[in-house]
Amino acid sequence: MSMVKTSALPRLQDGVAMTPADYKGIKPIWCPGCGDYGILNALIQVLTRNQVDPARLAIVSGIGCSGRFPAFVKSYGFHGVHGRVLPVATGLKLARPDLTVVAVGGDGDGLAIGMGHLPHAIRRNVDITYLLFDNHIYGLTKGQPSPTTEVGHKTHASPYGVSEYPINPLAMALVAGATFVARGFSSHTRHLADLIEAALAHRGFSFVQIMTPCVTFYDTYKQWKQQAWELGEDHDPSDFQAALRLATEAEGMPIGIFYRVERPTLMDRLVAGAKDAARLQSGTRYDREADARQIDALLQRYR
Amino acid sequence: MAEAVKALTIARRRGMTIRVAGESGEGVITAGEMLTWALARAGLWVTTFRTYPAEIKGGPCMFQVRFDRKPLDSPTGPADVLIAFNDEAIALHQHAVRPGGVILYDRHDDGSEPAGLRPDVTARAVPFGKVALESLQNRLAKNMVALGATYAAMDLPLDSAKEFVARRFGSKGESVVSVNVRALELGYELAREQLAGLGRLAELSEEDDTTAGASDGATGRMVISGNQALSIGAIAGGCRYYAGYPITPASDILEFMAAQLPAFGGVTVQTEDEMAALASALGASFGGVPSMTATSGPGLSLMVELIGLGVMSELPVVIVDVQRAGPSTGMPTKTEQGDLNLAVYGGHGDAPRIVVAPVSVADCLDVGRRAFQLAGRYQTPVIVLSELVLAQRTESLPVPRGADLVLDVEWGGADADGKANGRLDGYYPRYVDAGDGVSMRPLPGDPAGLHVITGLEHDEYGHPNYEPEMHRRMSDKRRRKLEALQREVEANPGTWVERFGREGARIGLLGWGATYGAAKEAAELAEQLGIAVRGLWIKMLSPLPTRTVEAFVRDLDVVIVPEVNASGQLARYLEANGIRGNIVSMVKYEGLPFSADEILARIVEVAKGS
Repeated sequence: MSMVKTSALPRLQDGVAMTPADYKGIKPIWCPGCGDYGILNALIQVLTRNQVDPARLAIVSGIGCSGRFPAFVKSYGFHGVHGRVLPVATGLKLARPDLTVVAVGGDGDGLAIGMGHLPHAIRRNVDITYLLFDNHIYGLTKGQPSPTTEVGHKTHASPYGVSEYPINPLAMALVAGATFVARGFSSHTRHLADLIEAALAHRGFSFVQIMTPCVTFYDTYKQWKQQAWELGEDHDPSDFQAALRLATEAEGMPIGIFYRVERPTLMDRLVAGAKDAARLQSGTRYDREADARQIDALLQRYR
Repeated sequence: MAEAVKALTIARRRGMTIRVAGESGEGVITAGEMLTWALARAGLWVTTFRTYPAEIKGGPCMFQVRFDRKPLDSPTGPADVLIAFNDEAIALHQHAVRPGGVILYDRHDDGSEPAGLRPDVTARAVPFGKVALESLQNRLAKNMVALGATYAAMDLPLDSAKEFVARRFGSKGESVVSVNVRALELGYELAREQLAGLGRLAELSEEDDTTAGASDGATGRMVISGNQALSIGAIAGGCRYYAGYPITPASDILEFMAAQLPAFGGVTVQTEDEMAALASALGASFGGVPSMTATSGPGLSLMVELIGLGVMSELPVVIVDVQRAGPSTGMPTKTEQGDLNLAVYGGHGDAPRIVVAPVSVADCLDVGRRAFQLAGRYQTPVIVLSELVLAQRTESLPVPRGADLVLDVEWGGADADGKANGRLDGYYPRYVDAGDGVSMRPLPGDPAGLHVITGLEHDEYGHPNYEPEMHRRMSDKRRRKLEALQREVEANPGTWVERFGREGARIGLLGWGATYGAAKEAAELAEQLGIAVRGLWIKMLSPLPTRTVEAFVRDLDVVIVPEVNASGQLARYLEANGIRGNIVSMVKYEGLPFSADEILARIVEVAKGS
């Protein structure tokens, strides 16, 4: 193990024990066979393994089949509007550094309507984990092409085949400066759980593209099962160029940690840069006397 | 008749008004700010008004300073003195000089006169530029020469101007300070010869009780803008998370927060767009941290989807809209009260929200604080409608005590202990109606408060629910919160309306926002002409304190509603809220604020007609 600074997961008090069943929220409403069940199971495995305190875990989602995810995990949850997952999660984490914040969203939510936010969340390096549920289709609206659908694929909204080239989310995350970039596959649940665990432990913005087939509108199970292969020891996740080559040139569908680097988070920089960051660092938001003094000092500048 | 009213207004107008005009880059704004500061330093009440182009360099701009020994409500209206840095400034601004007023202009090097000078004003050519060039080898220092001359003409001590120069230019080095100080002195000396015979320019009111407690000059007053006041108010109200996207005329709020929030333990983020700004503010609010964003009309248009989310998920947040002229990009540096409809109605579905509007710079400080109380207590977005003229207006105000400004913070975190008993799968019933529509809101970290919030229609647990009965019940819940607030305001109307004028008057002025100052002054002038007028300025536009407004309108023969927009948005809004009466909409849509004489002219017209 390298000596990487990690984000500690909030653990339950001693004496309290949670089983996987305890981490389950309300019953999921996905189609039978949906890849999203695999992601849910993987996350619950991680939570159980680490005995994560559900009160200090917050899951933020957008709109799409993944949108309901927060209700399926026993934790705090914020199911927001379409495409704004990352800004919501960013605000929550900056306001509450003590929480573990997980953002979830689909390829439509994150790469179409919400694409404008992704590079900025990445370059801020806020200490959150973003799980991109990528099924290459708009499932909830019944099968329109998404930014990752292959050229030529026919849907009701692309009756003559998709004309646009797909986005490469991993390459994009890498060139935008992400400090943790990985790809998982919902069918490789144990491998995915390890990836999610590593992403949560990463101190900074962790991006995990999770291939999750839509059995109803674009069944890619067979294809992805054939293509998927797990990265081995021969890949060095600290090698940026190797990661980029892997993201753009590899045969099949490599899964695993593509890239990982340690870099100060946004909060680190805010604390280091501010003129008077003692209270920001200690998390002292209110102190009536100090606040009054500070405001008096502010008002003095206008005399 | 308008001319006759104007003459009367001028004769009775209080205080003194100086307008500095020139090309952007000629130091107009610096000169204006300096004058403002020095006059406040001398113990006078000062209020200001500026216009400037959208370009960074070039284009005409002006800074108007009005001052008196008694507090003033409005900076607009005719100028007693115009200081013109070039001929274009004379052409653009000499109409704003009162008859018998003074124009000081930069003398042409060849001694010729500018074309078309008004005959009814005293015009003096003073070689500002030439003196600056010959004595200081820097023509750009002419603004300081002109200011020095103005100080001499008004018998103001030059020390305060020198102090301002040291404060403003100190960081640029000693030589910059000394050149500017020398320029001031040269202007001061120049005035002795050039302005002889003009006498003392300032004729001010006698000091009276209104200045009591605040006449201690240097120690008791500050000069602050609407945006600065609003920002300080927000911090005092508890704001600890700010996110914003740069936009005129709201950017200085972002800059203020970026500099000041860390010392209060707060965070500021400049986001990639306005949607991200409000979305992240909602995220912070979910975490229990009072949050705010500020923007102008184009940004508020983008934020509309997130306002709906705030209403639906019942999250408190404060959204400041410093209005500028629209639609679309409109006129970024011109004022308007054009966003009332958007603020009150913007969004799909029924999304009741709170909308408040400060009427003065002092009010920006107060409304900035109280917006946080409202948002926290009613768990819903609060939109603060400010305006360009209010945001940029610098004004002298008594310095309040920080201890009197700081408010208790109520932003969720209700004790959830025991409430999660009878829980559904261990979830906390976040949306149980406690009677007035408001629910307990435990915060992340509370083990007994687990819940999920959503923009979908939901049941008491926050779980999606589309049953007919549920949508009706939750829609009622969201509306009932505002009804509770409305009752509270009707019971204490003084908290969210401003009144002025004479009880029993038959003519009324009714409005919102920064038109307050000019309207109040118009009412005072009308009184002097023997016309009794009374006014009501509504500071809470949603929920509208309907009964308070109705009671005001009921007793009047006619109600004039002045607004800086084309369609009379408030007048129509009143009608939509069932306010009936003889309402006369008075609109101005030129990107400029009302002045008292414009409103007075309408009052006189109405008085003659009735």
